[in-house]
Amino acid sequence: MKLSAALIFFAATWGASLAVSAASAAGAGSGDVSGIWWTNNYSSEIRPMGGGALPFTPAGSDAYRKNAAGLKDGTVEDAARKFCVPDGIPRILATPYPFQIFQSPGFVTIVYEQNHVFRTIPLDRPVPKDEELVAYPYYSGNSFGHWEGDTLVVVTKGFNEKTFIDASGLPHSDQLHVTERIRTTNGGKTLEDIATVEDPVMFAKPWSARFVYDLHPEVRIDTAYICGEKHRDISRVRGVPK
Amino acid sequence: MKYRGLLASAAILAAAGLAGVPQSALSQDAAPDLNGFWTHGFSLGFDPPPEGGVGPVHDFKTKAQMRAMGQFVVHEGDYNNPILQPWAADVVKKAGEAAKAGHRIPTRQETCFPSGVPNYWTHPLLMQVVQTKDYVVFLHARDHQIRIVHLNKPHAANPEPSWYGDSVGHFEGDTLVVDTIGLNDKTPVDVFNTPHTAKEHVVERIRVVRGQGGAKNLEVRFTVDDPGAFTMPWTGVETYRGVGGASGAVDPVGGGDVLQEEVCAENNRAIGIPDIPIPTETSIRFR
Repeated sequence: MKLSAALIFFAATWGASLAVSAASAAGAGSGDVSGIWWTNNYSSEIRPMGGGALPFTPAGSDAYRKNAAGLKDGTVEDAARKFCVPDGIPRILATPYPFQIFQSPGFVTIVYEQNHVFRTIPLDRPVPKDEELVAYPYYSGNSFGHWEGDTLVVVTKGFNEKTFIDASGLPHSDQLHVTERIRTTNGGKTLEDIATVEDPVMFAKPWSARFVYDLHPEVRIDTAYICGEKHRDISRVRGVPK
Repeated sequence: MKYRGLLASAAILAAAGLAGVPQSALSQDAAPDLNGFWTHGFSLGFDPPPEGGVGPVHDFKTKAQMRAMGQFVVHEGDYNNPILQPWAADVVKKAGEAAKAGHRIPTRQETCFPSGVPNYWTHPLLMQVVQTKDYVVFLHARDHQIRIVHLNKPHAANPEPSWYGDSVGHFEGDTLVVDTIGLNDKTPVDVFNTPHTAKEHVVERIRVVRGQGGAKNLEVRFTVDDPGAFTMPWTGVETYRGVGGASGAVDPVGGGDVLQEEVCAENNRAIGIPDIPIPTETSIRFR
């Protein structure tokens, strides 16, 4: 009995340690979300999955009203479109351009064609407290990832306040936290990213949006998307103004 | 029987553990590992090949003299370099004269445009290399510049001229060999404004070497062939030092190595040149 138990323990730990060492060596965790992905649908509005109203705080509602009006009459500048600064998270998740995910030891890296933005997501590092990120207020925030089964969970925080949550001007504060759950579906042909937005300044409670992309191995990402120059034809994406 | 069953279970468990790891990550054992963080200071011009031979344009001053000038260094490329065709020599000469007169021509990276190849290797600050079985990706903190090298694939058919062209690569022993074509002619090759044309063909040979005290360095050696601008192929070298990891953290966020975000459009770095136009969308098709 003792020997059996020992062997079972050995079997379990051997398998587990091999899995850990292989995953650690590959930096791949237990899932594979690598590939070239491209949405079929674009909307300027990111809204809660399943419908329902956005849970604005009074400050959030007021800020949205001002942003939306300002974007319409030009008094608020959309720097991401005009000067190609990063869209921020989650706005870039709605990109109508393709992007590519790479998995290497200790990192998942996402390269977005739009505005040649990349996110390097270190894996299995402790997520810093908000106050530790005060000195790093980034457009794309600071992302930290880990695997839960075949799902890549990415927590992003430490944002500046220069981006919108979506292209319609949904506001956020520097207290924004975004948690993404990224996994493949449909036998690896589709990528799903469910992003949960938490910002106690602008929203009374967390809300989640869902993004879906198809695998496009035939695409080569152009890493030199430059404002003012010709960009890739994206007329295949529904919802992009013609 | 019981023990054989248990060992079989062990094998199954082990296999189950490995099953979740992408094959692309598992099967790169044979390739050298370029993953990591690399940096060098502001470029003072590429080094010539150590074995001698035809080298890149260099400054009339020595690098020691240039370093002594600090951030106010004036680049004056030696336009007498025999690699230059007359028109290219004239471009280098005029750039040096303008710099000396206080009207320095800003580099592409200072104006938020991509640097092209081999100018990418002049970027100061931090670079991360991400390597998988099928790709090597160069990520630069500076203006989030990216190059993707497609491993063991042919060039795209008739690539349109672009800032970083079409790069394919393979490993030869410890060296990543990258072949790049399809470059536009909007970038200089170096910090002396040495021009190139769309005929440019660059072959880069990149490997990890040991520097002083066994430090891990990344050696980038490239050969430029461009019958539109040069009289002959020439070779240059740039060397990065490894940072992060055992060498010390570069950023306290996450407790280790990570690239900081540096957005050129809000903070371009052309010291002494105010109000530089940056890429601006004139016709915004969608939000």
